[in-house]
Amino acid sequence: MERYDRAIRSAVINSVENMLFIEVLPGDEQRSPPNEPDRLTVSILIHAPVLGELRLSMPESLATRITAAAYCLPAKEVTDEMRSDTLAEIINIIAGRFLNEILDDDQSFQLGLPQIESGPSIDQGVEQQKWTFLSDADAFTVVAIGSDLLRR
Amino acid sequence: MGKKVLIIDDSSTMRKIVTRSLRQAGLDFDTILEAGDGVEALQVLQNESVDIILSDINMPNMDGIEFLRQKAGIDAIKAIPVIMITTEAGADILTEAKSLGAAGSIKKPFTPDQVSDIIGPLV
Repeated sequence: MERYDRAIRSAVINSVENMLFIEVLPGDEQRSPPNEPDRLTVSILIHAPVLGELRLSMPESLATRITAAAYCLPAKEVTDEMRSDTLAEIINIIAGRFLNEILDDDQSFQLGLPQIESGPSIDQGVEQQKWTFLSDADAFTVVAIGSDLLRR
Repeated sequence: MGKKVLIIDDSSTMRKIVTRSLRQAGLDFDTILEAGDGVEALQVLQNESVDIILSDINMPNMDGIEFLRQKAGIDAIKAIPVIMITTEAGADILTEAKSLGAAGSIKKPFTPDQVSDIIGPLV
């Protein structure tokens, strides 16, 4: 799992810092962020060469801050559509970078389309691994789901 | 005459990020045009002459690979260099893109320096 830890941290930190210039630090894995009602979640399915899913979940305030940075706009001008598009793009990039790190060199992979989640949270019976990150005072999580993905 | 670039990506966020990265890389294009997929891009290129095209691969309606294929068949635009900007950088996809005329590729996430290194020599 250490290889996965390195891969997901590298994917998240590089994606958000390199492209959006927002500092991200690894968070305390034992202290998951609270389940605030305003948390936004986006998921992406991995279809090949392994089956699995990644989910990114963050407070609306952080999603707004990241979107404002991407669009070079004041936070008050960020729309729901911009925020959803930004979260979708971030999970897509994180998933791609993560798979590039854990798969053999240049091995192709296939991702689904990112989906904004409004339904129930992940079934606790499903194999999953959660990582927590911090950006200023905001904590956000990335969850990898599926035994095929996690036992590779 | 000022330089023009066309950015093709179905994500408006990514189009903004690419635009900002070009500026931060010191590549000051006078005109930055945008298209949401290959179909829109071909429509833009009917009316606009551009110096370089930056294209995503996975897009609805017409993806980046099909866009390259269509572009290669149009005399007026086939010589315009195209850089693929992609998450899925599998060797087979990039080989296909190169065989269809792509001048290079940038893997997301990218830094302005990487953008400068790859696009700078082409413009």
